Amino acid sequence: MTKAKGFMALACLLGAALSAFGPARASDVDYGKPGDPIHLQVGYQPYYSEAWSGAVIDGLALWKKYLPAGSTVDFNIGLQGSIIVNAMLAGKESIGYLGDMPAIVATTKRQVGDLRIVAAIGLGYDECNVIFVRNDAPRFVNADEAVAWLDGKTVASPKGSCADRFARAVFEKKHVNPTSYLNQSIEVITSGFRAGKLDGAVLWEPTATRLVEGSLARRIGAGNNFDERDGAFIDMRADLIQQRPDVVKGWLEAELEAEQYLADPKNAVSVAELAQAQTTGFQKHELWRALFGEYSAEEGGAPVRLTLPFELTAPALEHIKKATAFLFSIKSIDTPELPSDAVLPELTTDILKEHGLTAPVGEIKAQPESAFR
Amino acid sequence: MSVAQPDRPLLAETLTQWAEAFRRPTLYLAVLGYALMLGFWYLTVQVLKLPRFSQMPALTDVMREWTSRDPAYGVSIFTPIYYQHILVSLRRIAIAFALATSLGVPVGLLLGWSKAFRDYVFPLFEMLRPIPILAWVPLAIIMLPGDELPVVYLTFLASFFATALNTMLGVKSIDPAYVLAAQCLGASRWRIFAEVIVPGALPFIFTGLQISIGVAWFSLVAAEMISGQFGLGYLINTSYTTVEYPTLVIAMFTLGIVGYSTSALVRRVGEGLMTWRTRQLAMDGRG
Amino acid sequence: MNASQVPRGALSLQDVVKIYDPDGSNVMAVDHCSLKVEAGEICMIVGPSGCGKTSLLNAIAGFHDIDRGSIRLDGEVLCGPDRRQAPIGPDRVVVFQNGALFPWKTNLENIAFGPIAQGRLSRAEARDKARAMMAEAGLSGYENDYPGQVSSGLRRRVEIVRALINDPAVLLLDEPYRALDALTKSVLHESLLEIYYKTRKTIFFITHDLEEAIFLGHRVVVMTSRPCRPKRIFDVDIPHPRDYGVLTSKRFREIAAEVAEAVNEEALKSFTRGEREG
Repeated sequence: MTKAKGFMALACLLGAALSAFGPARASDVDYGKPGDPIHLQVGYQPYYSEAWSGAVIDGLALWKKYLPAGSTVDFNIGLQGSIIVNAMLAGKESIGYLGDMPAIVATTKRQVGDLRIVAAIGLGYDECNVIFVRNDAPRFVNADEAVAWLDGKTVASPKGSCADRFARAVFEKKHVNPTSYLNQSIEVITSGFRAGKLDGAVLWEPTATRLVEGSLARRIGAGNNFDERDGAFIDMRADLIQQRPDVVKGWLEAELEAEQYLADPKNAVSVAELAQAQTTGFQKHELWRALFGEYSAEEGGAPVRLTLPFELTAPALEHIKKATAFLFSIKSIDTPELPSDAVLPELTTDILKEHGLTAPVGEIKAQPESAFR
Repeated sequence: MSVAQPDRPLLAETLTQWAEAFRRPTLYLAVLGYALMLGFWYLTVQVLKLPRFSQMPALTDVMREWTSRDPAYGVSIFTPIYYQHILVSLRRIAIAFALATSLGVPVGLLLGWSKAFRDYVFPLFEMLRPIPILAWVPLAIIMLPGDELPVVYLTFLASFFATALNTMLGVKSIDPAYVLAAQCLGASRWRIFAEVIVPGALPFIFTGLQISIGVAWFSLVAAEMISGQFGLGYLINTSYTTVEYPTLVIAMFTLGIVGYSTSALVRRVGEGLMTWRTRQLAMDGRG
Repeated sequence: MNASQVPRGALSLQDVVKIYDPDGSNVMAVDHCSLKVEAGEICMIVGPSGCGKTSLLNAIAGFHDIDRGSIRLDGEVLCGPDRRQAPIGPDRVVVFQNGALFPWKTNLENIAFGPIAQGRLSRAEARDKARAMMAEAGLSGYENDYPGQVSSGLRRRVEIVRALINDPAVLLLDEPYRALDALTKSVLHESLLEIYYKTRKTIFFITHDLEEAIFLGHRVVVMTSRPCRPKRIFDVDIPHPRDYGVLTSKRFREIAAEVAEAVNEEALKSFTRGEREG
């Protein structure tokens, strides 16, 4: 039995050695004292237009104005919100720009990491919730008919995303049952449409516009047609909030400025340029149209593309509540309601008050084609 | 005096071996090994709560989820979908492995045996071999029809290369004296291939097959990224994006168990086909 | 195995030259070697390690070519100026130093391999003949064992039967008992002689073991160090049939002393030249 004892002793020694590195509480990160320069890791999604305020903060370096002198920020691209959530839970990123489903899921994993929703950065109906069918599908009278056609077909969406939540909500509402509901990433879906293997897909912008402009698939509906919102949020690690309220406030100030920049229609093309500099494989026009362009009513388009609440407004909170209940019903999370402190509205409310502003801080209306120059 | 044993049917021999295993200490040491690992996990994550370790899914959470009648994330030993994932993966492995073997062994034999074949084919072979599976994904989706074929193809690739390479090395490792002896005894080139080269390379081929089935399982996880709906690799990938860690660990464990069984099966078939080697190793005390 | 058949297996080597060319260094292994082996003779070849004895055997077997000279078997040219490499065939079967029984075939299958491969016998016939020959050689009971299951001494005997079943003109033995212990060797010597008395095959036997050479052979050919050619040929005038009692006889000791002296001279030469092990 001495071998077993020896092994246990070694394991304990190893564990003790590992615990010598790192802060006192097991899973906390150490950010320093208020006022110290900070080295922030931020997860953001330039491939998700509803969360482009993050791209604006990066592109215009707005954070420099609001964080302590000497701070640095690493902007880490996440191709999907859930990748950012995993990184935040592991303590590798402290601030995340997320779609509604990952933003909510992130707050239900306290035993792994304590994340909170601190701001609502976008509410819309067709920034995440966009439905596609293959090009050679029959012509449909309306979105309802198109979705009904997907019954018994092969549909794909990246699982764990706001698009996934929307797809499943619509299927449930309309009693539609695809034979295969595939979990595929955006690239695999794009290849799938190209190779004619998919009947339908649900994706977010700007990939949605790329499919349209590349004639790879046909857009037949969006959240507008089914009274289903989509939303984007900022989540932060609780330890950052507790240790560095100065940094949290500074970041949210930068976020406010970014949203105001987005809200100004004159900046539309420049936003598209910023996004293009941070992505690959997209034309500037595709990026512009994703957030600022028009889509017809048949395609599920509407005059308002995005509302910028900044604060956790009543519609934003309502959306979170509804989505949480739905996610629980499909066994994505293990609780029907979020803990009461999972959402922290006061952080943004206080900032708006100081600036004498009310929510929403802006609205992005669809611009005609002629506005793109 | 001869020590020949009557040739018992494979099944009877396997069952007898299993029964005997309970009498030998090896089985209990293996169990002890697993218990120590689980104990380490429990200790570091739930009792000592060491940094980085404490964020891992807890052993008790995983076990509870795995054995729950109504699992929080929908996958446990009581849910049919769990077995569907296992069967879909097994089916893909079986097809990919069968293809990799039936193509890899002949290609490997030819590469080892025929200089002309080797001159033409080996450079191409060696250039394709290092290309990782993920690089093949877009081509696989576009080139191959349907949804299953790309997944099976991606699983098949690394397996094929492992089998072919090991087979080739097996042929080259054959003591030239055997070939010379066969020639002395008047064997034609074809007979030498069939009765000397193939059986002579068989031990290496089976080592290659054991490696190849393991490689098939690695590849499966990457390949199932594009599969979309079922499979243990799919489950692992999806549990990551949906942040369902207990399910992730369940899928990993399941994959380990199923993978182990398939490797053991391959090994057993090899031992059956090469009784001469099993008995020789037994004579040397290495059985 | 009719002893009154016309004797076969007379080997005639004339002026054989073999040059190896590893990396252009032109190593001569066999230097104008001429030798005549009579049909039905046991001809023992001894010499220092690395002197080129195995090259001679390989040339006779057809495993490689010769650069000059010729080799004849019963008057027919095996290799010469027109054809540099002898064909490999069952008339000159080799028994290898480390043994080349196919480990994946049983002893019986190994022995039956030759006749089946040459198309001379059907599978059933070949197996019957193999069984009979094993019985005659005292190997009954080991038919269905694999070579890996039996002792190395037994393996050698099986390998010799595997060669004999093909009725070769010459048995080429390349230090077949080198890796065996003295006790096993002595048993194998007697068994080889038994086989010889029954079959009267020509045996071309390379060895290091001087006692083995003198005990078994009609003649012992001592080769020079590399490049090899016959230095001295000793007639072993001890009458056949021989048994182990012969080892202690006076004549045996005398011949042994002479052979040892001749070999030693050559061994010293190759030692000082630092030759690689043959």
